[in-house]
Amino acid sequence: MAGIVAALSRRGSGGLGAVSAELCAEVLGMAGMAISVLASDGNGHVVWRTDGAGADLDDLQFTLGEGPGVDAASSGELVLEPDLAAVPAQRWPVFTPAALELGVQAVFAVPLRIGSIRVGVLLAHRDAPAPAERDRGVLTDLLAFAQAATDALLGSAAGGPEPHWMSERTSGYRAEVHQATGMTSLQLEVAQGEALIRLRAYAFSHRRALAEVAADVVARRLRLDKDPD
Amino acid sequence: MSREQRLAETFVELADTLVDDFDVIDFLHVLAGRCVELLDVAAAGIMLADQDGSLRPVAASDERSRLLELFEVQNDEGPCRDCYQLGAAVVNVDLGGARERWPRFTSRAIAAGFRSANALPMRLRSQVIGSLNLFHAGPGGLDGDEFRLAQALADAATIGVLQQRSIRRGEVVTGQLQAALTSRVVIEQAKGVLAERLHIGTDDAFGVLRAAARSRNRLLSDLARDVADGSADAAQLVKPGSRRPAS
Repeated sequence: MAGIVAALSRRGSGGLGAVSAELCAEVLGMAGMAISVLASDGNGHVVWRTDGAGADLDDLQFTLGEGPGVDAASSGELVLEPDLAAVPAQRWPVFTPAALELGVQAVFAVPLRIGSIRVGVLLAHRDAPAPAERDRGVLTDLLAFAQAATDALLGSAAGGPEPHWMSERTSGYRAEVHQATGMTSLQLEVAQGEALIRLRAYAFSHRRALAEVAADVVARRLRLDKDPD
Repeated sequence: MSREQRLAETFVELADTLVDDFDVIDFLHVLAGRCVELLDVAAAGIMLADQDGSLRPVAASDERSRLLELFEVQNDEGPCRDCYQLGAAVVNVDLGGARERWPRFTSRAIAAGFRSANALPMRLRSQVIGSLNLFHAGPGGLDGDEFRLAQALADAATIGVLQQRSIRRGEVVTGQLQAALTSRVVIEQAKGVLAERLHIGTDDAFGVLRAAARSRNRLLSDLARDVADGSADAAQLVKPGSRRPAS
């Protein structure tokens, strides 16, 4: 853990690109992690994540408009649910069963902030019950990592064009989603924001990853209907 | 209100500077006034250094122009300048004997009715950001307790100023990050719009966008935004554009 924080703090190291997301997740005892940044449009955009369920969870929340990351982003407070199955149904009525179905057993959302400014959210999840020794100190480690990640994010962003690691890490994944959004907005004759919502809703209701749906749209294998399903 | 209560109140207000949305300049004015009350001095002023290292008066216990001039001259000479450069307090200097040391400052200070002057560093670890200036009109100066109290007030105010600056800096950087992220998203959306409108691939769409931006002398991200929100007609973009005069 100390090694990770040190790597993130080293100036000129390339910010979040300096540490492997999979390694971080392993050290923190998590199955997956994702960091999303709140953009000027109010949407969260994933800039760093482990492969697999990490980013899917972010997609899921965004489609549904509910979930631990959504709550953390809007309230600015920690959301810790080490036993997702025990969370009362009315808290996240659609998210919880969907996440449980993805195999998620615990979720943790840490708002990333500078003072009171909300920069983004760190979302972490486990897909197996954690041994008791792991639970002790997991919060401290998560918070330490969140702070180091925020500093690295802003440090590498300071005074210049978009950090290079963001392009490498995310362009393969998110670029197609936004391209598909552009195409869909024209096809459905709606604004970009609504086009993205329609794409996410389609992905969710067909149980497909948003990235796959986007790839199909861009390749012209899929075109959303004007009237929603 | 007793002196102790006033003192406690002052420190609580100093702690408030650690949260955002706090008006530091306004607070420094209050602090200067409190110094006069709590330290039994005739006048107090706070000078902060700007990026070039010039000391600027930021707040004073009263706004008489004579007093302000007295602070202004201290950018060149005087107890504040010395204090700032040394990073150490300059205490209980009898102005009667200070003419050689600080000719212009001393004549103005005496004319303003002061007899002795002090400057305490506003400092956090190795960083000195300015100086707290205190003047006595009567005999006597700062005793040991008053000196320690004055330094404590200066230290607390320093933390508040630095915290506010750090928050502002964080805001600027966060804004840049969020803007960069948004502009990237918008460019991708614009590629999608053009690809759909012109029945071409997204890579070719980027080529069209870039060429159009160049021939119209516009920023890529600006043109992308117009394409994405529908205010620029895609079909128009493939026509050679008239060169806009460079603004």
